[in-house]
Amino acid sequence: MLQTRKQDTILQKLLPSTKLWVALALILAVMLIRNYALSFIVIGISIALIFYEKKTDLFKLIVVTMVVMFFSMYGIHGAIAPNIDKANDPVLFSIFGIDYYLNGFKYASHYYLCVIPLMCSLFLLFTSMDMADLGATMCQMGLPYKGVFTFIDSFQVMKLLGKEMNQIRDAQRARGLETEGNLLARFKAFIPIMVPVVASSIVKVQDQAIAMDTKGFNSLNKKTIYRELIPSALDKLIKVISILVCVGTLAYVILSKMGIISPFMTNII
Amino acid sequence: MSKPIIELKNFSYRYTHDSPIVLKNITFTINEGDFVGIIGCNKAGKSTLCKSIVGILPFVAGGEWDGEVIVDGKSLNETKGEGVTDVIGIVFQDAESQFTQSTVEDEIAFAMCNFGYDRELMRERVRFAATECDIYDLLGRSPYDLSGGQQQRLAVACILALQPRVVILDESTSQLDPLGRDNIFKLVSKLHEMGKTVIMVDHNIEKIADSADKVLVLHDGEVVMFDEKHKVFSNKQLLNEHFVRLPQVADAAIDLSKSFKGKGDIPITLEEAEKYFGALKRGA
Amino acid sequence: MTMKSVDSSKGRLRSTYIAIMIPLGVAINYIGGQLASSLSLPIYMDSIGTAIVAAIMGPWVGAASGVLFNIISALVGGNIMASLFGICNIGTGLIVGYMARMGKFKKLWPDVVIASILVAVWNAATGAPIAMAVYGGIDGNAGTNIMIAAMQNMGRDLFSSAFLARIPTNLLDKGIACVVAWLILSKLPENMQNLNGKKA
Repeated sequence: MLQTRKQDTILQKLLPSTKLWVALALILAVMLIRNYALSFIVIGISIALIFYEKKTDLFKLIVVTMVVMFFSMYGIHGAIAPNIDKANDPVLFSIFGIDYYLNGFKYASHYYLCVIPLMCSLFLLFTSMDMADLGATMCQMGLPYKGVFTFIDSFQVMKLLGKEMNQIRDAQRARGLETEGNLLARFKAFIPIMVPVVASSIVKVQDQAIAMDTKGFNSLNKKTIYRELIPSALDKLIKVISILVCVGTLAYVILSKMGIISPFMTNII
Repeated sequence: MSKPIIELKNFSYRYTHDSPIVLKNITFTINEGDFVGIIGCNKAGKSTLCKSIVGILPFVAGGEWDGEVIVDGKSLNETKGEGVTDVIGIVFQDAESQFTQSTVEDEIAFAMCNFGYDRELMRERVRFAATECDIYDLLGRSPYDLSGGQQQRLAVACILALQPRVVILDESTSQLDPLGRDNIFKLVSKLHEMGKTVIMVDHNIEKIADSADKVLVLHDGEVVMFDEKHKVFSNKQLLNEHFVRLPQVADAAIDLSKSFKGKGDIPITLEEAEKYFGALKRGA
Repeated sequence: MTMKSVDSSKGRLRSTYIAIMIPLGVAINYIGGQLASSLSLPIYMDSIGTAIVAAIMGPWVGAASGVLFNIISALVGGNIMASLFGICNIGTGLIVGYMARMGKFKKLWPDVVIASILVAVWNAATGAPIAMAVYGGIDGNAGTNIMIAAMQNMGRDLFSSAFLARIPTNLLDKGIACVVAWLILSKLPENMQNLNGKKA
């Protein structure tokens, strides 16, 4: 590349392939080992890095989902989970006359402490990835070029259409469109904003297709990759650790299922 | 005498079987190194003509046609439009709809990646194209964050990186402010000086008169006139009949020539007008 | 005049259209969801893109767009298991795509209404078991969760509660999505309404 890109933090310096390995290791470890300490450690480190990487604005939306899920899962499953034996299960506490059972909490934790660590860590990994670098990585891995293009272009178009939607929403507001108030008013605001954004983007498709064709998108030549991704020593180290975690997790699960070792690390039942 | 690079022979085209014929029996030849301005009123078929020269119509986007388009000695009827992009690069009106990448640098390299260029060669061409189009400082920026003029320069750079022998610009300045438009015309003149053949569709008659060597006038899908620019712009009656105006200085000179006989050809640019009217003033 | 013709539906531009329309469908799904959230509407509105792409490009391209949206939003949202909801979107794409191909997505009544009902039932039927597998039945939607809790309190099992609670939300959500998609399609120029839609 002629232009050096911004790589101030460690996460920004890591290659997408390294981050993909870390993601795989985390998914396998959190989902298959099911350990309280591991879940909380992953959550803690991820949130710390989210603040360090200054991704807190985007993370706010994830936090809302996490909170809703917490109250829904623990609140509902605590009282009425499918495997509660109300006669024999220990009651943890009562609120407003509703009993909350230990097994209900365990049932909720089985899902919540698997979903939340992955939400935090994968959000961090993917939002700190340069999408064009990810595309180059995927092409290097041998994935079909048009498939990779389609995948990466989705991120680009999402960003552009989002910006356009904000502009049109502001323009419609300036023309008197009510976007606040009762539910009906807010429902009515949906179409005058959505329709112009979408219609104008579809009309451009034909021109874009022709322009891409003239730039050789359908050329039968073997495609080359412009971006050169050179792994650093840290990339190699993290990749090795991730592979070891993947292999170790799979070995633990297989051996414990076969009864050769006890599932000593699993405590989220 | 330079050799022909683009030839149309009785070329006709329509988008679908039920639609009217948009290009009717078009015949002309463009030689290598020419700078041809294509002018005409709206719906004359200018954009359709540009796309037909590159083989987009009919071989990529479909349609019905008759006659022949020959690019660099090869008939598109035989090649089905394959290989035309080795010779011709085309820039469309809406620059933003031509972009797909996240940075200017990647955008310039996009076509080269598709054609399988070597990485070192790509770097060299990106450097060259970005420098020539004066966007080297913008390489790390997103194409969507650029101004209209910068986007058009980027669109030209993307084509220039492939080193085509012919560059077609289809109303590339229509959405730009006057400064942006002037910059594009300067860039296009630079490309012409590099030896490229330029075909430019534009509504700015003055700029076309300034930059082009030859002018092709299109009306209702037919070639009204294709000749050296002075000959075209001195034919006021023919142009006006086909809803095309002259450069303002030519218009003024023709109107004044009823009372005053100037020396030399009817001026079509400001520099020529200075000499022409200067001679009139001195009573020469 | 006898002219030669080229049918572009068999040409290379179709694959380019696919490469552009799939991301566009993903983006339309995304902004639908964003707009619904910013207007504080109690529905997702994240299937409009799937429906539009399916109607224009065909059922399988629409389905692909829907699945890709679920995968991307799962990756960016960090909830990798949520990508399984792509199965719901496959159904949306196939139902709308095949109806459009048969010419049954042109009128609001009965075409779009039938499409909405079919899509809603499919989404509820597939969404419930996925929610069971991913979240134990309870997900991030407060409205659905309250209905599930109420039904469980009345003695229903979790699975049927999860299914039934999703019917009204899906009818509203997918119903409006199909109507919005139909509205947008009706505003497009004729040549954009069907970009070689006869091929899957």
